[in-house]
Amino acid sequence: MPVSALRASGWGLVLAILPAAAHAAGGMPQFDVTSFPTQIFWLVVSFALLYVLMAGLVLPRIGHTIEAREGKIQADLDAAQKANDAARVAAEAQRAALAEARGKAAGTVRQAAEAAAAETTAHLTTLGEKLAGQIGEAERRIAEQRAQALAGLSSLATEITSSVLGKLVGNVDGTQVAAKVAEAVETARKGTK
Amino acid sequence: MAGPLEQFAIHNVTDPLFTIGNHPIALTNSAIFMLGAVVISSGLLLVGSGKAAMVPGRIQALAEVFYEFIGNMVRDNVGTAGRKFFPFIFSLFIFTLFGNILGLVPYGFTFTSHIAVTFFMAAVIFLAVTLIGLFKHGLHFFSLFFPHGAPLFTAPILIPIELVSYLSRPISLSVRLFANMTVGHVLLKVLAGFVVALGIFGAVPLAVLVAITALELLVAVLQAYIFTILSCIYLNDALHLH
Repeated sequence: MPVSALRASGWGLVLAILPAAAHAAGGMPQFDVTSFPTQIFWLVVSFALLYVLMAGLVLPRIGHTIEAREGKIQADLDAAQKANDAARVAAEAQRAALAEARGKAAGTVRQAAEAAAAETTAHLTTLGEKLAGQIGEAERRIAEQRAQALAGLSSLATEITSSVLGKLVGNVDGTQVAAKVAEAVETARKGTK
Repeated sequence: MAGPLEQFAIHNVTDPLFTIGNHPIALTNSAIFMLGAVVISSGLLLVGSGKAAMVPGRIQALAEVFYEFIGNMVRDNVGTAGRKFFPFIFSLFIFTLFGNILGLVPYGFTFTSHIAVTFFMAAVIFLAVTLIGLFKHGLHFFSLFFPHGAPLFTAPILIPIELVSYLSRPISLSVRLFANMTVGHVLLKVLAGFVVALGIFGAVPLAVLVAITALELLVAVLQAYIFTILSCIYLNDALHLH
Protein backbone atom coordinates (compact mmCIF):
# COMPACT_ATOMS: atom_id res chain seq x y z
CA MET A 1 0.00 0.00 0.00
CA PRO A 2 1.76 3.20 -1.15
CA VAL A 3 0.08 5.38 1.50
CA SER A 4 1.39 3.27 4.35
CA ALA A 5 4.80 3.20 2.67
CA LEU A 6 4.63 6.97 2.58
CA ARG A 7 3.73 6.99 6.25
CA ALA A 8 6.69 4.78 7.00
CA SER A 9 8.96 7.23 5.16
CA GLY A 10 7.09 9.90 7.09
CA TRP A 11 8.51 8.39 10.26
CA GLY A 12 11.99 8.83 8.81
CA LEU A 13 11.20 12.37 7.74
CA VAL A 14 9.81 13.23 11.13
CA LEU A 15 12.76 11.68 12.93
CA ALA A 16 15.07 13.69 10.68
CA ILE A 17 13.37 17.03 11.10
CA LEU A 18 12.16 16.63 14.68
CA PRO A 19 15.40 17.54 16.44
CA ALA A 20 15.84 20.66 14.32
CA ALA A 21 12.18 21.62 14.60
CA ALA A 22 12.18 20.92 18.29
CA HIS A 23 15.26 23.01 18.73
CA ALA A 24 13.75 25.86 16.73
CA ALA A 25 10.50 25.68 18.70
CA GLY A 26 12.34 25.50 21.99
CA GLY A 27 11.79 21.76 22.50
CA MET A 28 8.87 19.48 21.90
CA PRO A 29 5.83 20.64 23.89
CA GLN A 30 5.40 16.98 24.88
CA PHE A 31 8.53 17.16 27.01
CA ASP A 32 7.62 20.40 28.78
CA VAL A 33 7.51 19.01 32.28
CA THR A 34 5.70 22.04 33.70
CA SER A 35 2.55 21.06 31.77
CA PHE A 36 2.46 17.54 33.23
CA PRO A 37 0.57 18.23 36.48
CA THR A 38 -2.20 20.09 34.64
CA GLN A 39 -2.48 17.36 32.00
CA ILE A 40 -2.59 14.59 34.58
CA PHE A 41 -5.13 16.46 36.69
CA TRP A 42 -7.53 16.91 33.76
CA LEU A 43 -6.86 13.35 32.59
CA VAL A 44 -7.87 11.99 35.99
CA VAL A 45 -10.93 14.25 36.18
CA SER A 46 -12.22 13.51 32.69
CA PHE A 47 -11.45 9.79 32.80
CA ALA A 48 -13.12 9.47 36.20
CA LEU A 49 -16.16 11.27 34.84
CA LEU A 50 -16.26 8.96 31.81
CA TYR A 51 -15.78 5.88 33.99
CA VAL A 52 -18.58 6.86 36.36
CA LEU A 53 -20.97 7.52 33.47
CA MET A 54 -20.05 4.27 31.69
CA ALA A 55 -20.05 1.98 34.73
CA GLY A 56 -23.03 3.59 36.40
CA LEU A 57 -25.36 4.36 33.53
CA VAL A 58 -24.43 3.42 29.98
CA LEU A 59 -23.09 -0.12 30.34
CA PRO A 60 -25.86 -1.49 32.62
CA ARG A 61 -28.48 -0.01 30.30
CA ILE A 62 -26.94 -1.45 27.12
CA GLY A 63 -26.34 -4.79 28.84
CA HIS A 64 -29.94 -4.86 29.98
CA THR A 65 -31.19 -3.98 26.49
CA ILE A 66 -29.12 -6.71 24.84
CA GLU A 67 -30.23 -9.27 27.44
CA ALA A 68 -33.87 -8.25 27.02
CA ARG A 69 -33.53 -8.58 23.25
CA GLU A 70 -31.96 -12.03 23.51
CA GLY A 71 -34.70 -13.06 25.93
CA LYS A 72 -37.36 -11.73 23.56
CA ILE A 73 -35.82 -13.53 20.58
CA GLN A 74 -35.65 -16.77 22.56
CA ALA A 75 -39.25 -16.36 23.77
CA ASP A 76 -40.40 -15.62 20.21
CA LEU A 77 -38.56 -18.66 18.90
CA ASP A 78 -40.14 -20.83 21.61
CA ALA A 79 -43.60 -19.42 20.84
CA ALA A 80 -43.05 -20.04 17.14
CA GLN A 81 -41.98 -23.62 17.88
CA LYS A 82 -45.08 -24.11 20.02
CA ALA A 83 -47.35 -22.62 17.35
CA ASN A 84 -45.68 -24.81 14.75
CA ASP A 85 -46.30 -27.91 16.84
CA ALA A 86 -49.93 -26.91 17.41
CA ALA A 87 -50.37 -26.29 13.69
CA ARG A 88 -48.90 -29.71 12.92
CA VAL A 89 -51.31 -31.37 15.39
CA ALA A 90 -54.24 -29.41 13.93
CA ALA A 91 -53.23 -30.39 10.40
CA GLU A 92 -53.05 -34.03 11.49
CA ALA A 93 -56.53 -33.78 13.08
CA GLN A 94 -57.88 -32.04 9.99
CA ARG A 95 -56.45 -34.77 7.74
CA ALA A 96 -58.05 -37.44 9.95
CA ALA A 97 -61.39 -35.60 9.98
CA LEU A 98 -61.23 -35.22 6.23
CA ALA A 99 -60.56 -38.93 5.73
CA GLU A 100 -63.40 -39.82 8.10
CA ALA A 101 -65.80 -37.43 6.34
CA ARG A 102 -64.77 -38.83 2.98
CA GLY A 103 -65.46 -42.39 4.20
CA LYS A 104 -68.80 -41.33 5.62
CA ALA A 105 -69.75 -39.55 2.40
CA ALA A 106 -68.84 -42.61 0.34
CA GLY A 107 -71.06 -44.77 2.64
CA THR A 108 -73.95 -42.37 2.27
CA VAL A 109 -73.58 -42.32 -1.50
CA ARG A 110 -73.51 -46.12 -1.61
CA GLN A 111 -76.58 -46.32 0.63
CA ALA A 112 -78.45 -43.81 -1.49
CA ALA A 113 -77.54 -45.70 -4.66
CA GLU A 114 -78.67 -48.98 -3.16
CA ALA A 115 -81.93 -47.45 -1.93
CA ALA A 116 -82.55 -45.93 -5.36
CA ALA A 117 -81.80 -49.24 -7.07
CA ALA A 118 -84.13 -51.12 -4.72
CA GLU A 119 -86.88 -48.60 -5.29
CA THR A 120 -86.46 -48.85 -9.06
CA THR A 121 -86.56 -52.64 -8.92
CA ALA A 122 -89.71 -52.59 -6.78
CA HIS A 123 -91.33 -50.10 -9.09
CA LEU A 124 -90.47 -52.19 -12.15
CA THR A 125 -91.79 -55.34 -10.45
CA THR A 126 -95.18 -53.77 -9.59
CA LEU A 127 -95.35 -52.28 -13.05
CA GLY A 128 -94.59 -55.67 -14.61
CA GLU A 129 -97.22 -57.35 -12.43
CA LYS A 130 -99.78 -54.70 -13.31
CA LEU A 131 -99.02 -55.05 -16.98
CA ALA A 132 -99.11 -58.84 -16.77
CA GLY A 133 -102.51 -58.59 -15.05
CA GLN A 134 -103.79 -56.27 -17.74
CA ILE A 135 -102.44 -58.56 -20.48
CA GLY A 136 -104.06 -61.60 -18.81
CA GLU A 137 -107.38 -59.76 -18.52
CA ALA A 138 -107.20 -58.71 -22.16
CA GLU A 139 -106.41 -62.27 -23.25
CA ARG A 140 -109.21 -63.64 -21.15
CA ARG A 141 -111.63 -61.16 -22.72
CA ILE A 142 -110.41 -61.99 -26.19
CA ALA A 143 -110.86 -65.71 -25.50
CA GLU A 144 -114.34 -65.09 -24.12
CA GLN A 145 -115.37 -63.05 -27.08
CA ARG A 146 -113.88 -65.58 -29.39
CA ALA A 147 -115.80 -68.39 -27.63
CA GLN A 148 -118.97 -66.33 -27.83
CA ALA A 149 -118.29 -65.69 -31.47
CA LEU A 150 -117.70 -69.38 -32.10
CA ALA A 151 -120.80 -70.36 -30.14
CA GLY A 152 -122.80 -67.81 -32.16
CA LEU A 153 -121.32 -69.27 -35.34
CA SER A 154 -122.65 -72.80 -34.52
CA SER A 155 -126.19 -71.65 -33.73
CA LEU A 156 -126.17 -69.35 -36.80
CA ALA A 157 -125.07 -72.25 -39.02
CA THR A 158 -127.79 -74.50 -37.53
CA GLU A 159 -130.42 -71.86 -38.10
CA ILE A 160 -129.28 -71.17 -41.65
CA THR A 161 -129.10 -74.91 -42.43
CA SER A 162 -132.54 -75.58 -40.84
CA SER A 163 -134.20 -72.81 -42.83
CA VAL A 164 -132.39 -73.89 -46.07
CA LEU A 165 -133.41 -77.55 -45.48
CA GLY A 166 -136.93 -76.48 -44.47
CA LYS A 167 -137.34 -74.69 -47.75
CA LEU A 168 -135.79 -77.56 -49.72
CA VAL A 169 -137.14 -80.58 -47.87
CA GLY A 170 -139.98 -79.29 -45.83
CA ASN A 171 -140.33 -80.36 -42.31
CA VAL A 172 -136.95 -81.27 -40.82
CA ASP A 173 -136.01 -82.66 -37.47
CA GLY A 174 -134.31 -79.72 -35.79
CA THR A 175 -132.26 -81.70 -33.30
CA GLN A 176 -130.78 -83.93 -36.02
CA VAL A 177 -129.78 -80.87 -38.07
CA ALA A 178 -128.29 -79.25 -35.07
CA ALA A 179 -126.22 -82.34 -34.30
CA LYS A 180 -124.97 -82.62 -37.89
CA VAL A 181 -124.17 -78.90 -38.14
CA ALA A 182 -122.34 -79.01 -34.84
CA GLU A 183 -120.36 -81.99 -36.13
CA ALA A 184 -119.55 -80.14 -39.37
CA VAL A 185 -118.54 -77.00 -37.54
CA GLU A 186 -116.36 -79.05 -35.31
CA THR A 187 -114.75 -80.69 -38.31
CA ALA A 188 -114.28 -77.33 -40.05
CA ARG A 189 -112.78 -75.83 -37.01
CA LYS A 190 -110.43 -78.73 -36.72
CA GLY A 191 -109.57 -78.32 -40.38
CA THR A 192 -108.77 -74.69 -40.11
CA LYS A 193 -106.63 -75.29 -37.17
CA MET B 1 3.53 29.69 9.11
CA ALA B 2 3.42 27.68 12.32
CA GLY B 3 5.99 24.95 12.82
CA PRO B 4 4.96 21.30 12.81
CA LEU B 5 5.33 21.08 16.57
CA GLU B 6 3.26 24.10 17.45
CA GLN B 7 0.04 22.06 17.26
CA PHE B 8 1.18 20.15 20.33
CA ALA B 9 1.67 23.25 22.48
CA ILE B 10 -0.47 23.37 25.58
CA HIS B 11 -1.74 26.78 26.56
CA ASN B 12 -4.04 27.98 29.24
CA VAL B 13 -7.53 28.99 28.20
CA THR B 14 -8.39 30.41 31.63
CA ASP B 15 -6.38 31.82 34.45
CA PRO B 16 -5.24 29.18 36.94
CA LEU B 17 -8.33 27.96 38.78
CA PHE B 18 -6.56 26.55 41.83
CA THR B 19 -3.27 24.97 42.78
CA ILE B 20 -2.36 21.42 43.67
CA GLY B 21 0.84 21.51 45.67
CA ASN B 22 2.79 24.24 43.91
CA HIS B 23 1.20 23.59 40.54
CA PRO B 24 -1.40 26.04 39.30
CA ILE B 25 -4.15 24.22 37.42
CA ALA B 26 -5.83 26.10 34.60
CA LEU B 27 -8.25 24.96 31.95
CA THR B 28 -6.08 24.19 28.90
CA ASN B 29 -6.71 23.30 25.26
CA SER B 30 -5.74 19.74 26.17
CA ALA B 31 -8.26 19.72 29.04
CA ILE B 32 -11.01 21.04 26.75
CA PHE B 33 -10.43 18.17 24.33
CA MET B 34 -10.32 15.61 27.15
CA LEU B 35 -13.60 16.90 28.55
CA GLY B 36 -14.95 17.24 25.02
CA ALA B 37 -14.11 13.61 24.28
CA VAL B 38 -15.91 12.61 27.48
CA VAL B 39 -18.94 14.81 26.76
CA ILE B 40 -19.28 13.72 23.12
CA SER B 41 -18.70 10.02 23.79
CA SER B 42 -20.92 9.81 26.86
CA GLY B 43 -23.57 11.97 25.16
CA LEU B 44 -23.59 9.58 22.21
CA LEU B 45 -23.65 6.52 24.46
CA LEU B 46 -26.28 7.95 26.82
CA VAL B 47 -28.55 8.71 23.86
CA GLY B 48 -27.74 5.32 22.36
CA SER B 49 -28.54 3.45 25.56
CA GLY B 50 -31.55 5.57 26.52
CA LYS B 51 -34.26 4.22 24.30
CA ALA B 52 -33.55 0.50 24.82
CA ALA B 53 -35.52 -0.36 21.67
CA MET B 54 -35.85 -3.98 20.60
CA VAL B 55 -34.88 -2.95 17.07
CA PRO B 56 -32.08 -0.42 17.58
CA GLY B 57 -31.81 2.84 15.69
CA ARG B 58 -28.49 4.13 14.36
CA ILE B 59 -27.12 5.63 17.57
CA GLN B 60 -28.31 2.69 19.66
CA ALA B 61 -26.75 0.27 17.18
CA LEU B 62 -23.46 2.19 17.43
CA ALA B 63 -23.56 2.04 21.25
CA GLU B 64 -24.28 -1.68 21.11
CA VAL B 65 -21.46 -2.26 18.60
CA PHE B 66 -19.02 -0.60 21.03
CA TYR B 67 -20.43 -2.63 23.91
CA GLU B 68 -20.23 -5.97 22.12
CA PHE B 69 -16.82 -5.18 20.58
CA ILE B 70 -15.18 -4.46 23.94
CA GLY B 71 -17.26 -7.18 25.65
CA ASN B 72 -15.92 -9.77 23.19
CA MET B 73 -12.39 -8.38 23.52
CA VAL B 74 -12.48 -8.76 27.31
CA ARG B 75 -14.11 -12.20 27.12
CA ASP B 76 -11.65 -13.51 24.50
CA ASN B 77 -8.50 -12.09 26.12
CA VAL B 78 -9.24 -12.13 29.83
CA GLY B 79 -12.07 -14.65 30.19
CA THR B 80 -14.93 -14.50 32.65
CA ALA B 81 -12.59 -13.19 35.38
CA GLY B 82 -12.29 -10.00 33.34
CA ARG B 83 -15.99 -9.29 33.70
CA LYS B 84 -15.54 -6.84 36.56
CA PHE B 85 -12.87 -4.90 34.65
CA PHE B 86 -15.15 -4.48 31.65
CA PRO B 87 -16.31 -0.93 32.55
CA PHE B 88 -12.69 0.20 32.95
CA ILE B 89 -11.53 -1.39 29.68
CA PHE B 90 -14.59 0.04 27.92
CA SER B 91 -13.91 3.55 29.26
CA LEU B 92 -10.24 3.21 28.31
CA PHE B 93 -11.12 2.35 24.72
CA ILE B 94 -13.74 5.07 24.37
CA PHE B 95 -11.46 7.71 25.92
CA THR B 96 -8.51 6.83 23.69
CA LEU B 97 -10.63 6.41 20.56
CA PHE B 98 -12.44 9.73 20.92
CA GLY B 99 -9.21 11.49 21.89
CA ASN B 100 -7.46 10.15 18.78
CA ILE B 101 -10.34 10.96 16.44
CA LEU B 102 -11.08 14.42 17.87
CA GLY B 103 -7.42 15.23 17.31
CA LEU B 104 -7.96 14.77 13.55
CA VAL B 105 -10.58 17.51 13.45
CA PRO B 106 -8.95 20.61 11.90
CA TYR B 107 -7.70 23.06 14.54
CA GLY B 108 -8.21 20.26 17.06
CA PHE B 109 -5.83 19.14 19.76
CA THR B 110 -4.70 15.53 20.25
CA PHE B 111 -4.28 14.89 23.96
CA THR B 112 -3.14 11.32 23.22
CA SER B 113 -0.08 12.78 21.44
CA HIS B 114 1.29 13.76 24.83
CA ILE B 115 3.59 11.37 26.62
CA ALA B 116 2.39 12.70 29.98
CA VAL B 117 -1.14 11.49 29.23
CA THR B 118 -0.26 8.16 27.62
CA PHE B 119 2.43 7.34 30.15
CA PHE B 120 0.19 8.16 33.09
CA MET B 121 -2.53 5.88 31.69
CA ALA B 122 0.00 3.13 30.96
CA ALA B 123 1.60 3.48 34.39
CA VAL B 124 -1.73 3.29 36.18
CA ILE B 125 -2.67 0.20 34.15
CA PHE B 126 0.75 -1.36 34.81
CA LEU B 127 0.61 -0.71 38.56
CA ALA B 128 -3.00 -1.84 38.85
CA VAL B 129 -2.34 -5.01 36.89
CA THR B 130 0.76 -5.81 38.97
CA LEU B 131 -1.12 -5.22 42.23
CA ILE B 132 -4.05 -7.36 41.01
CA GLY B 133 -1.57 -10.16 40.17
CA LEU B 134 0.17 -9.89 43.54
CA PHE B 135 -3.12 -9.76 45.39
CA LYS B 136 -4.55 -12.75 43.54
CA HIS B 137 -1.49 -15.03 43.43
CA GLY B 138 0.75 -13.73 46.23
CA LEU B 139 4.41 -14.61 45.72
CA HIS B 140 3.43 -17.12 43.07
CA PHE B 141 2.93 -14.07 40.85
CA PHE B 142 6.72 -13.96 40.33
CA SER B 143 6.54 -17.23 38.38
CA LEU B 144 5.46 -14.88 35.59
CA PHE B 145 9.18 -14.07 35.18
CA PHE B 146 10.26 -17.66 34.64
CA PRO B 147 8.51 -19.54 31.84
CA HIS B 148 7.01 -22.80 33.04
CA GLY B 149 9.03 -25.86 31.96
CA ALA B 150 12.25 -24.02 31.05
CA PRO B 151 15.45 -25.72 32.31
CA LEU B 152 16.52 -24.34 35.67
CA PHE B 153 20.02 -23.36 34.54
CA THR B 154 18.49 -20.85 32.07
CA ALA B 155 17.05 -18.91 34.99
CA PRO B 156 19.95 -16.41 35.28
CA ILE B 157 19.36 -15.38 31.67
CA LEU B 158 15.58 -15.74 31.42
CA ILE B 159 14.58 -13.97 34.61
CA PRO B 160 16.37 -10.68 33.80
CA ILE B 161 14.99 -10.79 30.25
CA GLU B 162 11.45 -11.39 31.44
CA LEU B 163 11.82 -8.75 34.13
CA VAL B 164 13.05 -6.13 31.67
CA SER B 165 10.31 -7.07 29.23
CA TYR B 166 7.73 -6.79 32.00
CA LEU B 167 9.01 -3.46 33.28
CA SER B 168 9.18 -2.00 29.78
CA ARG B 169 5.48 -2.68 29.24
CA PRO B 170 4.27 0.75 30.42
CA ILE B 171 6.95 2.44 28.31
CA SER B 172 6.15 0.53 25.12
CA LEU B 173 2.42 0.91 25.73
CA SER B 174 2.62 4.67 26.21
CA VAL B 175 5.31 5.45 23.63
CA ARG B 176 3.47 3.46 20.93
CA LEU B 177 0.35 5.62 21.26
CA PHE B 178 2.20 8.89 21.81
CA ALA B 179 4.65 8.35 18.92
CA ASN B 180 1.98 7.24 16.46
CA MET B 181 -0.20 10.23 17.19
CA THR B 182 2.69 12.70 17.17
CA VAL B 183 4.23 11.40 13.96
CA GLY B 184 0.89 11.33 12.16
CA HIS B 185 0.10 14.91 13.06
CA VAL B 186 3.62 16.16 12.29
CA LEU B 187 3.44 14.45 8.91
CA LEU B 188 0.07 16.07 8.16
CA LYS B 189 1.44 19.46 9.16
CA VAL B 190 4.61 19.11 7.04
CA LEU B 191 2.61 18.03 4.00
CA ALA B 192 0.17 20.88 4.55
CA GLY B 193 3.17 23.23 4.53
CA PHE B 194 4.15 21.85 1.09
CA VAL B 195 0.64 22.49 -0.24
CA VAL B 196 0.98 26.19 0.50
CA ALA B 197 4.64 26.47 -0.56
CA LEU B 198 4.21 24.79 -3.96
CA GLY B 199 1.38 27.01 -5.17
CA ILE B 200 -0.46 25.42 -8.09
CA PHE B 201 1.64 22.26 -7.79
CA GLY B 202 0.43 22.00 -4.23
CA ALA B 203 -2.39 19.84 -5.59
CA VAL B 204 -0.01 16.87 -5.48
CA PRO B 205 0.79 17.06 -1.74
CA LEU B 206 -2.89 17.95 -1.18
CA ALA B 207 -3.95 14.65 -2.73
CA VAL B 208 -1.37 12.85 -0.61
CA LEU B 209 -2.64 14.78 2.40
CA VAL B 210 -6.16 13.50 1.80
CA ALA B 211 -4.90 9.92 1.59
CA ILE B 212 -2.74 10.36 4.71
CA THR B 213 -5.71 11.82 6.57
CA ALA B 214 -7.70 8.69 5.78
CA LEU B 215 -4.76 6.60 6.95
CA GLU B 216 -4.50 8.66 10.14
CA LEU B 217 -8.16 7.94 10.83
CA LEU B 218 -7.37 4.24 10.54
CA VAL B 219 -4.31 4.71 12.78
CA ALA B 220 -6.42 6.59 15.33
CA VAL B 221 -8.89 3.68 15.58
CA LEU B 222 -6.15 1.04 15.40
CA GLN B 223 -3.99 2.60 18.12
CA ALA B 224 -6.98 2.90 20.46
CA TYR B 225 -7.67 -0.77 19.77
CA ILE B 226 -4.04 -1.77 20.33
CA PHE B 227 -3.80 0.23 23.56
CA THR B 228 -6.95 -1.43 24.87
CA ILE B 229 -6.19 -4.99 23.79
CA LEU B 230 -2.66 -4.81 25.24
CA SER B 231 -4.18 -3.68 28.54
CA CYS B 232 -6.46 -6.74 28.33
CA ILE B 233 -3.50 -9.02 27.67
CA TYR B 234 -1.54 -7.58 30.61
CA LEU B 235 -4.60 -8.00 32.81
CA ASN B 236 -4.96 -11.59 31.64
CA ASP B 237 -1.30 -12.29 32.48
CA ALA B 238 -1.86 -10.97 35.99
CA LEU B 239 -5.08 -12.92 36.50
CA HIS B 240 -4.02 -16.24 34.99
CA LEU B 241 -0.18 -15.99 34.94
CA HIS B 242 1.13 -18.03 32.01
